[in-house]
Amino acid sequence: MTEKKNPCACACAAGHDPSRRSMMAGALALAALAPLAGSRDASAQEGGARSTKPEPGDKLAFMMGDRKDKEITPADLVVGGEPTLAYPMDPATGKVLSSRANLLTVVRLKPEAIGEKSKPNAAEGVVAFSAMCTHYGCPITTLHPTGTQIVCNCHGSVFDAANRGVVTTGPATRRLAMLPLEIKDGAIVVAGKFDGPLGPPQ
Amino acid sequence: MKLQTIVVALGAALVSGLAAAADYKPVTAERLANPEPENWLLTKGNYEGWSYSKLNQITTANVSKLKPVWSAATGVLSGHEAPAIVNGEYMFVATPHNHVFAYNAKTGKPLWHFQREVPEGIGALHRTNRGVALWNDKVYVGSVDCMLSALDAKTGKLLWDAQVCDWEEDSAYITSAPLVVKGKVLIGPSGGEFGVRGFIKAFDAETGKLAWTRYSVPAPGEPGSETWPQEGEWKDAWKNGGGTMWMPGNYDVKNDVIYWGVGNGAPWLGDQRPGDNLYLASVLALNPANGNINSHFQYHWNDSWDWAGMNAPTLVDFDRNGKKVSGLISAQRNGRLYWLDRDAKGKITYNKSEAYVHNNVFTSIDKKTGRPTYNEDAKPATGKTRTYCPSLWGGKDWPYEAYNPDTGMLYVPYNDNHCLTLTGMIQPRIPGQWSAGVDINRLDLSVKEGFDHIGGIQAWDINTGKEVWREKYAKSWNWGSILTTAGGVLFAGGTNDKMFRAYDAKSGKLLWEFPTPSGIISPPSSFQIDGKQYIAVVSGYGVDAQWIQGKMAKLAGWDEKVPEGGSVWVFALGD
Repeated sequence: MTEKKNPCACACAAGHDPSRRSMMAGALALAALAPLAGSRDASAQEGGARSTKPEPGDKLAFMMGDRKDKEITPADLVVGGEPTLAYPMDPATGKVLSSRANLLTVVRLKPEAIGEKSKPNAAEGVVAFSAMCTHYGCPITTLHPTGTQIVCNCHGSVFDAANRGVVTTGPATRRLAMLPLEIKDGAIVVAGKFDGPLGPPQ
Repeated sequence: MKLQTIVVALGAALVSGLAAAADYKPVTAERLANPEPENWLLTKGNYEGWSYSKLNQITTANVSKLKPVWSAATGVLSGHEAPAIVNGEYMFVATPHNHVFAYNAKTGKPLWHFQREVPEGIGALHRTNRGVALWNDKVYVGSVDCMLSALDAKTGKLLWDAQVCDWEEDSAYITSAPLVVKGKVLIGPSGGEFGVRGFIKAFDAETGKLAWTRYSVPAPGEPGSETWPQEGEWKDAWKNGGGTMWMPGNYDVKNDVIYWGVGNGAPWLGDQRPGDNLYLASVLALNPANGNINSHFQYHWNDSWDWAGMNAPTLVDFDRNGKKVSGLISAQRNGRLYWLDRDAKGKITYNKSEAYVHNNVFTSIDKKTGRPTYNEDAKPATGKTRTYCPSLWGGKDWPYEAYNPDTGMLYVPYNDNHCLTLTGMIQPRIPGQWSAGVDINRLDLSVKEGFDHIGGIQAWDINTGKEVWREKYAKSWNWGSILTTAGGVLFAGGTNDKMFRAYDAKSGKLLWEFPTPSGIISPPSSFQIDGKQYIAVVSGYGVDAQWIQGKMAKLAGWDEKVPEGGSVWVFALGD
């Protein structure tokens, strides 16, 4: 007797809880064996080491360019500027948490343009979203002519940066997860966890 | 290597009742060279790339009585582009997101399921898979995260895997089916829009050990490198020049020559890599032992339209003035149908070509060489806005053409009456990021005013060089590969109305149609068990077909999308 299992039983369930698995290279096999309870990955629990995911208190660092791995300050972001690609950075060690799954797209909007539901996650108009397009996973890198929406440059999906990253134009069907930010002592600081699943539904 | 350690053998966990598994007949070089009509061992049915079944129980006279025998939901979204591969009672279907399902081909009973976990954070322009390959007692499948996996055909257990490419740094990903030739598994990644320099790799089918790598873009000093910029601003263009080899090739068994297609240039704008740019948009004749290039034919030079030449030409014999001439025929994305000769050493010679859809780029074609001249106003360039036809999806994208030796016709799934306007730019290369040199906000598909159709099927007599019949789809593109049979029938899906259809291969007359749950963009296949002929196809719309559907909603008021979700369908005549 054979039994076919729901094909999504393994990967999809895991994919919906981004905190569960480390994206460190080679760690997937371990991750597959990890307990399925939603929690920080094993290293965080056992060794006291931090998660490889963004955590409250993290700063943001440039993903590339002349200031790659350097901290992004509010002054670096201007209203109407193209999205800035960023990684979380551990403030204690300065370590940049670079992985595709951690990639953020950060834009600055006029504070008054930001919708009520997004306001608590914005900091002086600065908003950060998972940069992984929820269509096929390409990074979100382009500002839409409206100035408040952001565009995936692979298939043209458009997301509303002023309203929780909801899809305004497909083919993507799932909104972008937002990473809450705040300003502390003049610095951009992560204020919470992603508010939704990352990347495409599997 | 990091990914070598990623072993997520989910298949094994899902297997039970192995004692009941039917015998599995090992796949040999002899069987692949002369596949039995009752099986479908290769993606395109045979090494020549015909997508033709010798089975003739289902005929033009009785196909209207075709009924579904079984179906199975895959539970997977996105575009299902893999055929049902059949060996005995085993059927293997690969799907997007790294799944392989094995069924009893006669009953649909699930046998096993394998999934390689999709890494978090991966980006890929196309989340699809075009099928498995078979050798001995193993099933081979490529994964979107760049691995080639060998599975036990009877259990789905992962036996070995090998890294083909690098998704994290190089942004490559696999959509292709592998091709097995003489005990080696060949496969190449996609990623031309991400700046991947194309290649195929050959692995030992038993051990997974790398045998050879063939890059499609020569490194400095290698033959063909003189067709790339040698100095100045673009001297390093070859490093990210594209030419991905993302569709399985065909194989001339008698002369031991592989024919493999090479994709588009990267970035798309040819003025960012001045020169002919060998071997972009070409077919390569390769030595299976070492991957060496015997010869090549380039369909068009300095590709600037994303007109990838990844479709390997179909191996046929032409009847020319009463003489049999070994050749190649191929409907290319650039909108021309090519007749090429091939000799015993794999030397390819241009014979002739014909436009099969409207092309506003080629102003002339050299009669001896096939080399086109260009309308520069229709050649995308940096800082320019240009309109060209056919659009980047071409006269025919990846879906397989089919050749029926009984009718002497080549059947081409095609799309006409569409153009593209784009503005060229210099784009930075960011891992996972489109860097084709085009602003996605200004990548505008257009359709001919008052168009009477977009998609369709053309039947061409390969010997007379004339079109014999044509089917037109007034309100759909065609994304469906074609199967033709010794029963004189042609099977095809590909339309947004979700239909699976049967036509008379001689006349093009519609004989039968059946609505499936989603649209069909997978190649149909045919097999026979216990004396009964079956037709299999996988329904499951998505990827570019769906993207275009969304664009057509705005352009022509079509439905915005076709429901997604995969399902395998198997048909036969009633008792």
